[in-house]
Amino acid sequence: MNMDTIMTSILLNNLEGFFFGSGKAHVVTGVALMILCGLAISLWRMDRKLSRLEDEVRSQKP
Amino acid sequence: MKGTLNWIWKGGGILLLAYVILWGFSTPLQPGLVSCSPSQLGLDEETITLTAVGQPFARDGEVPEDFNLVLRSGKQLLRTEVTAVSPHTLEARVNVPPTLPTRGLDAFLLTPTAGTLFLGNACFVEDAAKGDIPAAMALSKPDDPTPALGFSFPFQPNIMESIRNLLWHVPMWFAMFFIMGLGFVASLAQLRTDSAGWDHRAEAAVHTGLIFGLLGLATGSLWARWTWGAWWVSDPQLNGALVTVLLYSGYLILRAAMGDDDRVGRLAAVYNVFAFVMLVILLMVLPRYTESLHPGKDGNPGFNSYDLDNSLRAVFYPAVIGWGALCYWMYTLRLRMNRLAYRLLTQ
Repeated sequence: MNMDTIMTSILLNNLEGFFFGSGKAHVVTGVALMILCGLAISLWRMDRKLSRLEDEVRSQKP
Repeated sequence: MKGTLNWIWKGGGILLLAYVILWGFSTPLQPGLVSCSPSQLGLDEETITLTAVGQPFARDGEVPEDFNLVLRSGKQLLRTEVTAVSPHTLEARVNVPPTLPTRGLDAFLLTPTAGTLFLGNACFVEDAAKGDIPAAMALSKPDDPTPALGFSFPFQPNIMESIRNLLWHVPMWFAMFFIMGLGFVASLAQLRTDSAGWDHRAEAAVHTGLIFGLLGLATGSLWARWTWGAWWVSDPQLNGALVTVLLYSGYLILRAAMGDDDRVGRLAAVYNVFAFVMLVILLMVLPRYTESLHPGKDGNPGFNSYDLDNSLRAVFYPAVIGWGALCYWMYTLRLRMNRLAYRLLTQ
């Protein structure tokens, strides 16, 4: 199944229908994407916190 | 400007990984034959059933006109008659001759859409005498059909659907090599300059590289279980990978054991230089001189044209860049933590 077929499947059926397609293999894709999103968000938050800390330390420097 | 560029490569890496997950899991596998039933044939008319996995090679109820199943014994071909086809199975009638060049029969299934599917030693004829296939049952080589499959991953025996693990396992090791290489350069620079900055870089690189090394070991072990049949086999590539990870664990233990000792930076740098040399020897040099189960063949642990095709490359290369970017992002975070901790401790 290529990307066009996936998009058509989502548009024609509902989301539930999409996740039941291809023997529910899309559920695995969905879970993997969620894990990636979680990882990306946690790294992004850590990055921002570090930037704030760096700014604070820099501003305290005599 | 610098901040924007930073977010572009970080976001780009995550987007590439999202692309890899989408394409990697949704691309169908090309069909491949996995079994033949019964596996032992008598000297009579027999009906055999071939089972395939991957993309369906036919629709339900399709008339099997264009399907041709040929059995090969030695260099001679045996005629069969296809009687039924379903998306993943094919039924055929075969008149087993009393004489065959070899007792083992290879199956070639010629299909109009999926091309030619092959199953080596599909079945055996124990009672067959050694001799040529009678002319009436023999077949001349049919023309190979041109496959009309869309974008799909190649079928490889044993590996089958697990070929998708290539997009996780291999790029994780590549990311580890890359970041350990950075650590090696940082340690060399540390030895030259005795600067804390280079020591921070080396520590961050080893710390991040070790995470990817452990992930590489875990994904490889899981893959080995369902392709080679065991969680771990005594293979030079696998043992080399384990020793490398243990060596780098030793680097972190050394640092922790020395605490705030002033010599920790230089000692750790010397250790890291040797650890990287061992990584190159154990993972890149030794496996090439020994027989290995790991792809590819003849003791060459690298990937070649037999293991990768263009459809896999279209996802594999983005995976290498994506995992590399994620690894580098994690390295920069660790490095900034090291710098902050150092600044707070020395203030």
